[in-house]
Amino acid sequence: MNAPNRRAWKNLDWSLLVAMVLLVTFGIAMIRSSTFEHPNLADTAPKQTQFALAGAVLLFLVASIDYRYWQSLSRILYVGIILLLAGLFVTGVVAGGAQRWFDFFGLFFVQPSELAKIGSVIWIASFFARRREKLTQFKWVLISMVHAGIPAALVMAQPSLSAAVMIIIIWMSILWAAGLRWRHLAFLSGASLAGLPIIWLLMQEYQRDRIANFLNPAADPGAQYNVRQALISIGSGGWFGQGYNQASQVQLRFLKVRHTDFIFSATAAEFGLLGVLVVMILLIVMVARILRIATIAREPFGAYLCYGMATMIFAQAFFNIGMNLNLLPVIGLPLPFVSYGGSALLTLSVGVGLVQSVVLRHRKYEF
Amino acid sequence: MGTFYALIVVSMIAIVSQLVRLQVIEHVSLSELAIENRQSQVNEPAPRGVIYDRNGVILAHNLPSFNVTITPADLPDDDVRLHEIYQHLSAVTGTPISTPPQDAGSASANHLGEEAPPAGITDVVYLQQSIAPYDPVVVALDVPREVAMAVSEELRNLPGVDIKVAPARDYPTGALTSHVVGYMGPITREVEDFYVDKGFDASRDKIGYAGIEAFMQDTLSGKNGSKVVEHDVAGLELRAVGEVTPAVPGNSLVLTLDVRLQAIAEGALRQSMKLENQVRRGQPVTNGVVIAMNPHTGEILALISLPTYDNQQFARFIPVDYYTELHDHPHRPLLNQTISGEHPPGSVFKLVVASGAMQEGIITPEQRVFDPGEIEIVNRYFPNDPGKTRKVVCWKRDGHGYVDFITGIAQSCDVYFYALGGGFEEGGVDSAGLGIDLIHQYATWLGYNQPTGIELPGELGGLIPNRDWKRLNVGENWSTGDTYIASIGQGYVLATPLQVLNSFTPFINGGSLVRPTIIREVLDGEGNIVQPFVPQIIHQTPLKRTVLDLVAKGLRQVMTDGTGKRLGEINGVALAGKTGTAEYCDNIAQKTGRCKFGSWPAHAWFVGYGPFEDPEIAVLAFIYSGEEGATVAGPVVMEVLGAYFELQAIDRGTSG
Repeated sequence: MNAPNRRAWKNLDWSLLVAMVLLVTFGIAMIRSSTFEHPNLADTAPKQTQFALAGAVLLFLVASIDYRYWQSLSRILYVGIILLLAGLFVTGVVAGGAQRWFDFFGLFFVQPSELAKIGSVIWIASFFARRREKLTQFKWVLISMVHAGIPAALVMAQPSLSAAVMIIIIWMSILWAAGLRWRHLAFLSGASLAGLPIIWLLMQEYQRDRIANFLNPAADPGAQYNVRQALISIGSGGWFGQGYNQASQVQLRFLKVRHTDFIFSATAAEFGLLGVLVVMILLIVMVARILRIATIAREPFGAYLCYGMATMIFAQAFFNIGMNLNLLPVIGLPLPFVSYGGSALLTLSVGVGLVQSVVLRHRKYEF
Repeated sequence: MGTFYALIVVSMIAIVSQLVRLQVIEHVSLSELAIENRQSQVNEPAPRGVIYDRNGVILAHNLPSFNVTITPADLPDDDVRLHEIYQHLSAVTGTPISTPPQDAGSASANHLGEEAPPAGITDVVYLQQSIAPYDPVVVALDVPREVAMAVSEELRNLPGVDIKVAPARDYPTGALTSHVVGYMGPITREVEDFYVDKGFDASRDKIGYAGIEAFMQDTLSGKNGSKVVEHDVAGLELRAVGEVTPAVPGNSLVLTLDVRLQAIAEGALRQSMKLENQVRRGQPVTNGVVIAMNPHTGEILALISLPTYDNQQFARFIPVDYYTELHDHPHRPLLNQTISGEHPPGSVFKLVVASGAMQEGIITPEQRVFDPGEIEIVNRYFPNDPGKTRKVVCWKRDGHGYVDFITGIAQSCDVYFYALGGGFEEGGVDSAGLGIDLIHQYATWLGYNQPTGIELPGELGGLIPNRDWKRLNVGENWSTGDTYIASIGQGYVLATPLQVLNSFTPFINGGSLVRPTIIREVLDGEGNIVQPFVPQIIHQTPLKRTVLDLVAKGLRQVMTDGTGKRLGEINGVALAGKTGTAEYCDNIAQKTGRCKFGSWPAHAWFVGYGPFEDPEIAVLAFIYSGEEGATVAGPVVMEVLGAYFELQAIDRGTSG
C-alpha cells in the first residue's frame, strides 16, 4: 500500500505507453481529416486533443495510486455506479434518441455507460479475487452473473446494447481467467442459448433492426447505406491508400460517422491496407503488453484488472473493425484510442493507468 | 492466457482476410463505385429560342421560375428543428405541412404525367427520403420572386432547404396569339426515350405541345450541354471533370405575324359575333376564324381562331382543371380552326368551277345562262324517270335571269355554276359541264384536298370528292346531282379556312399558289439571321392569264355590283372579294336538331383583298353557323383591311 517511489517509475511499461500515444495521436490526425472544413464538426480534433491531454493526466494520476485501494472501494464503486445509472432515468440528457449522457451540474457531460465499463472491470476483478476458491461451486458463478447482470441490464435499458455486451464479456473473461470449470461453462452456454429469445425481447426496436439488417441486408437498403459506404471506402484505399486528407469517400463525406464509429474505414481509405495493419499491430501490442503485466502482477486482483482491460480493448477493437468490414452487425462501438469521444478516451486512460499501477507495483523486480 | 492469444490470432485471420478481399481483390471495382459516388453527369439546359412577331414584339420568352426544394438527407435530425423549418416554409410558401385529406379522384396525377403543385411538405419529404434522400425534391413550385428572395436569405438557418431556379416559358401576348405560339408541357413517358436520346432531361425539360412551340421544337430547343462534375455527398458541385460540352442555345424565330393587326382582327371578329348574337335567336355563334395574308409571299399577318385559350396559364405547368375545361368544351378551343377545321366552303369554292370552266372552254365570257331560280336535273342514267329528277335552287329564288361569267361570279349565281359544273343546254349549246374529274383537278390546282404546309401542327387537307372516293366511302356511284352540289362548294366538299384563303392567291399574283408561312426569319442565339425569308410557292397553276384576269374582274365586281356591294369601299382603295354562305349539317347541328330539310344552318364566309390594282393583303373571315357571308363575315374582313392600310400608313410615316 505504497505510493510509487522514484525508483518504481522505471517499471512503467513504456511500450504500452508509446503504443497508446501513437494510436491517440494518429486518431486525432484522422479525426481532423474526417471533419476537415466541416461547418459543425470543426472543433472535434482540438477537443479530442484536450481529452487526450486530460487523459494523460488521469493516466499518471491513476498509475500513481496503488491499485489495491480500488479493491477496498469496489463495493462503494459498484453501488455508486448502479445509483448513477438508475439516476439517468430521472435526469439523463437525451441525445440521438438514447439516454446516454449525464450532465454533471452543467459542467460537463459523461457517458455513464463508459463509467460502467471501467467500474465493471474493477469490481468484477475484485469479486473474483475475493472468491477465487469458491468458484468450484456453481452457486458462486451464478451469483457473479447476477452481480454483473444488474449494471448490464441498467445500461441496456438506457439503451446501450454495446456497453451491456462489453460488461458481460468482461465478466466472462475474468471468470475464465479466475478458473471457470468446463462443466460450468457448458451449462452456461446451454442456458444462454436458451435465453437468447428473452434477450431479443428485451432489446430496443433499433437494436433489433441493426441485427436484422446485418443478417438480411436487402431488407432495408437505406439502413445499409453506411456499411456499404464503409466497404467502398476501405476498398478504394487499396494497398497504400489515397493519402492523408485525400480520400474522396472521406473528404466528400460519403462515409458517415467517419470520425467515430467508421474511423477505421476512413483510415483504410487514406492509408490503405498498410495503414490499418499498423493500427491493428499497435492495438495488439497494447493488448499483449497488458496480458504480460497480468502474468507478473503481485496478486490475482492486479492480474484480473489487466485481463479485464485487455478484454475491453480487444473486444471493442474487434467489434468495431468487424462492423467496419461488415463481418459483425453495427452495434455502435468506437475504435479504442482512435475514434473521437471524450468519455471513451478518458475511460481507457484510467484503465491503462490502472494497468500501469499494477506494473509499477509488481514484485518481481523489486528488492 | 493461451485462450486469449488464440482468440487474437483467429480474429486477426478473419479481419486480415476480409481486408485483403476488399483492398486487394475488390480494390478496382470498389474504387469504381467510389468514383460513381462522387461523379455525375450533369445536363446543362440550353436556353430556348425567343418568338417575336414581325416587328420584334415578344410572343414567347424565358423567365426564371423559382422552386423551393428540400434535400431530405441534409435536414437536421432533431425533430423540433425539423418542425420549425417545415413551419417556416409553410408560412412563406403556403404549402401545407401535411397533405390535407382529399377525395381519391383529385389526388391522382393527370394524364400529362404532371402533378398539380405538391402536397404537404412532410409527405413529399417522406416519399423522397425513401427514394433518393440525397436529391432535392420540390416542395413549392413556382413561388413568387419575393418569396424566393426571402427564403434564400434564410437558407443558413434552413439546412436541407434550397431555392432552384428553373427556366419557365412566358407568353406576354397570351390568348391573343396562343393558336399560333402554342404552349409547352412535360416530356411524357411515351416519348421519353426519343428525347432523352437527343440529350433532354425528361424530368426537367419541356417540349412544345401546340403551335409554333411544337412545330419548331427542334429549332427552338437548342442542344443541352453536358459535363461530368465531382460533388460531395450533399450533391454540392465542386469541379468539372474532363470535357465539358457547352449547351447550344436554341434559335429564335421572327414570325410573319403583326400583333397589332392580330389584335384588331380578334376585336373585329368578336364584335361581329356579338352583333350577330344580339339579333339572332337560338344558338349563339362562338366559333370564328380570321386570317390575313400577303397574297404574294404567303406571309400570315394575322391568324385568329375563336374560341381560344390562354397559353400563359400553361407557362409554368399545366393546370388540370383549366386543361380539362378546355378539352371538354364542345367548340374545342384547343383546336386551331384555321387549319384544323374542315367545313363546306360554299360559294367561295366557285372560283374553282369558274376558272376551270373558262380554262377548258366550256363557256365564254359573254355566253349567258338563264337562271329561272330553280332547275330540274335529269338523272342521266334514268332520263325518263321523273321520280329521279332532282330540283336545285338558286339562293335567289326568283332567279337572276340571264347571267354571264362576270355577273355569275359577282352575283354568286348558283344556277350558273350548276351549269358550268354539271352541264347545261342553252341557246342550242349542249354542254356536259366541267364534270367532277376536272373539278377535282382544278380544286387541287387551287390548293384544295391537300394541307398547305404551314408551319403549324395539326393541319388538315379538307376533302374534294371524286368517283372513287364516293364508291369507297359512301358505297354509291357518283351522280350528276353530286357534281351540281360540288360545283357550289357544298355536299361532300370540305376545306379549311386557310385553304380557302390560299385559293385566291393565284388570281392575285399571276397564277402561283403560294405556300402560306408563319415564320419570317430564324435567328441564332446572338440574333444573327441564320435563315432569311424566302417566299415559296406550292406550285404554278396552269391557269391562263386571261382566265386569271376574268375571275379577278368578277371578284372586283362582287364589291362594286354584287353580293359584297353593301360593304362599300375603304378610303378609295379598290377592293375585291367573294362571299360564301355554306349550308352544313355536322354533328353539332344534328345534335341540336337544326338539320331541317330545306333550311339547314349555314356558315358565313368572306374573303376580301386589296388594293385591286396591286393587292397587298388578302383577308378571310369565317363564322361558324354565321348564316350570311356578306353581313356577318364581310364586316370583319373590311375592318381588318382598313386597319391594315392604316397601319401601313403609320409605318410609312414613322420610317419615312
